[in-house]
Amino acid sequence: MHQIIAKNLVVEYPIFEWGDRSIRSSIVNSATGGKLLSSGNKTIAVRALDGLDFSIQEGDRIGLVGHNGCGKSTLLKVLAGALQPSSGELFISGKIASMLSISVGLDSEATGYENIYIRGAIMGLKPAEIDILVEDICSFADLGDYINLPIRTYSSGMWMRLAFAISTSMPADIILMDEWLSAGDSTFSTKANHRIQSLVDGAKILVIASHSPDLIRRSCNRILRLEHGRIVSEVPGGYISRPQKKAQVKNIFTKDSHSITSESSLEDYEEGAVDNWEVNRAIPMVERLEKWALLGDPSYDENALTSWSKSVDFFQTPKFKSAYKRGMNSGHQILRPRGSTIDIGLNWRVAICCWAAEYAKKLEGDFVECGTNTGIDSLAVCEYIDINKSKKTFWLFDTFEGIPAEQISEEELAAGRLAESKANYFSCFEMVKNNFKSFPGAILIRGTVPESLKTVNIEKVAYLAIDMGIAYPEKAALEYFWNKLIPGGIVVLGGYGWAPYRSIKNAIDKFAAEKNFEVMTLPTGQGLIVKN
Amino acid sequence: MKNNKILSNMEYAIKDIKEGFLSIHIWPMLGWLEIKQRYRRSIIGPFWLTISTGVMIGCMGPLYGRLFKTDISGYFAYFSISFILWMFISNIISDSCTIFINSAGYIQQMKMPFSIYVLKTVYKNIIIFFHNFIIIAVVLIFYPPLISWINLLFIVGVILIALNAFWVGIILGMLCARYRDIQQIVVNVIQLAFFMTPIIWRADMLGKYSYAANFNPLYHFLEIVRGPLLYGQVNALSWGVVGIITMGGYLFMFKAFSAYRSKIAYWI
Repeated sequence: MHQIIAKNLVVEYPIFEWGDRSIRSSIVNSATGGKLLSSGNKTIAVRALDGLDFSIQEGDRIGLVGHNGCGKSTLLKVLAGALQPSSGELFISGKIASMLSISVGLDSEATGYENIYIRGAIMGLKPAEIDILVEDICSFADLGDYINLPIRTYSSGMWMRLAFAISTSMPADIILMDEWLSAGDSTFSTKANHRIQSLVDGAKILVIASHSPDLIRRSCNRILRLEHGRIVSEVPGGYISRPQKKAQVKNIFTKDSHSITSESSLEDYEEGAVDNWEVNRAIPMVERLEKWALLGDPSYDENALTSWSKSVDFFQTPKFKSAYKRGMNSGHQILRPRGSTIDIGLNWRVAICCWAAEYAKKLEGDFVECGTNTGIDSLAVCEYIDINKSKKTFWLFDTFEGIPAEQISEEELAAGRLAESKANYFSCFEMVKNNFKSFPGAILIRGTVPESLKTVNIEKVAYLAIDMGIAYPEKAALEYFWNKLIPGGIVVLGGYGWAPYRSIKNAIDKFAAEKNFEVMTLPTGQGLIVKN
Repeated sequence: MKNNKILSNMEYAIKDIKEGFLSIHIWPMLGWLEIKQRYRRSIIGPFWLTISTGVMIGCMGPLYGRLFKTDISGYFAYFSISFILWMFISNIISDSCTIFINSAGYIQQMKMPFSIYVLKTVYKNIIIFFHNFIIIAVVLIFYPPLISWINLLFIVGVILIALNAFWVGIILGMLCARYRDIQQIVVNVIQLAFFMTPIIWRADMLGKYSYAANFNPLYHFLEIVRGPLLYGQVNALSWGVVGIITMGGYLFMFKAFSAYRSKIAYWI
């Protein structure tokens, strides 16, 4: 059992003033009973950790957050064993890998190869153990023949790669990190991230300090906030451990018809004693998924959507990443305070808009978006399809100050739409104008939908995105543009599939019934229509 | 769960020293590295030490021999051995002052026994001493001492010096980390001690005051190597004094190291 338990952990840094650090003051003080230099004889101590009590168990992923100087780094140093607590108790069981300073011990005059042994020894490895790892380290650092040159000839990127490769070369029970380790250029950093992720996945305990709330939320299940050396709060993070995850999935699958219906067990199945679909079905879904190695980590876990075993490579293309970042950095205030650049995790949604726009780009007709806000989707779309080159006109309709109160129905008001609008939207017209400055094809129309739709002359529409949060203008917009949509034109409804926004679905479905089409509900909560 | 046991300060200190000594793949490497760092890209490397010491002895030996009007054949071997031993001892003492201060980068970031830094420094100085020992060997070929089995006792003498280097390293390393002035005091004391200790002069040159040299502990450390090697003599007083200092030093070191070991990281 690996664990870390702290009881009343205190760390005090003595601050030696110039006078105190010299022996003179000590001698003088002892001779005068400390009275003569009463102002100078006091050793001032800074209490970096002030009586911490915590218990970290196997499986925990601990995120330490707080302002600079709150004690995060000190706590990590204490856990790493570099600092001994001034008082209190600390029990640690498990092999610790400290990623706090991965280049300590590297000797600039020694070759890369020699440094593997130097740094390895400092990390507590025996030469024979390093012999086993050295090949992996060399190939991971990918320095070619440079590995035989003194590392003073390395660029800082190469230096970092070597340090990273050595420090992450062996598994550990407990991993300590001050900010997520990353290294090198973009190709290396992807590789590096992969490596550190698998190291962390294999560890029993992770303790990480970071200033990135997003990172902490993603990778930790317990978030401790430190202030002035004390833990002031603990909140659960978004990280779900493997066993927990399995339990969750198990829970889902045992609730439905996939649960055990026959006496045959998984062993029978594995031995080939029984091999037919019925028996196959009889095995609990979670075990089948596991057997087929389908239960890994979620490939996507954002925005109330978790997917397992689905490829999400499309998030990784530089083209999409750049487009997505542009939209996310549009200055929106949804689920984040003003000025924040936290990624609120809309990748899949935005990817669907981008895909639809890319598809519609080849069709005749304009692009329309009703409900732009700061342009999270539409900025991404503009960049993704390179709108300046494609010469498309993109009409962006919005009040640019949230949902108009008079359009909200009783039902929607009760569901909290107005409050939500006030929390997430703000008067942003000037800002959005600036956001789209470099896309002359994007035209902002300020005003309520549907009234504002008639103020401009739009003949044909190839791409229609509607996301206004309430039923009335969404349905009106769809009605208004339906006849203008060219055959094959595509519609993305932002809020259609979200259960809490059922009023939208009801309204749209009514229209769909009239016009005899069906809306595809996507797992992201969006609705998709291709007009035929 | 053996890691969960709370250790007393004394147990931590003993564990530190034990783990330090057992880390024989770390401190010799770090010690070598320090020497290598100094002589990287130089062709003859650490042998510069041998050369510079040799040149110094080659010049100073005859000069002082002349000044003291002694027979150069006896004096030269005496001076060479004394001077090289003095370099060994004084380097250990002056290096001891910066043991922990210079390792701040390591100490504040990772968990390694503190004794490793001390052993590294001792090891480094032993290596340097071996390089300089070549000079002693050469000198002894030209001015052979009285050969007897007792000569070999000098090895025990060197080992005793190295043993003492360890506790001195811990004590001075801690003291200098806590009180930054001590280093300056030590540097001055070493300079003074060079002249006050029988190195360029012999204790018997003091005539009826020659007993005064016995009050200088450093004299005894020189004697336990110099006596057997050069004269095949065993100076019982010197061995006794060194023995007592060694035991006392280690006792003192255990006490001090137990009490202040955990503070070192905060001092540097």
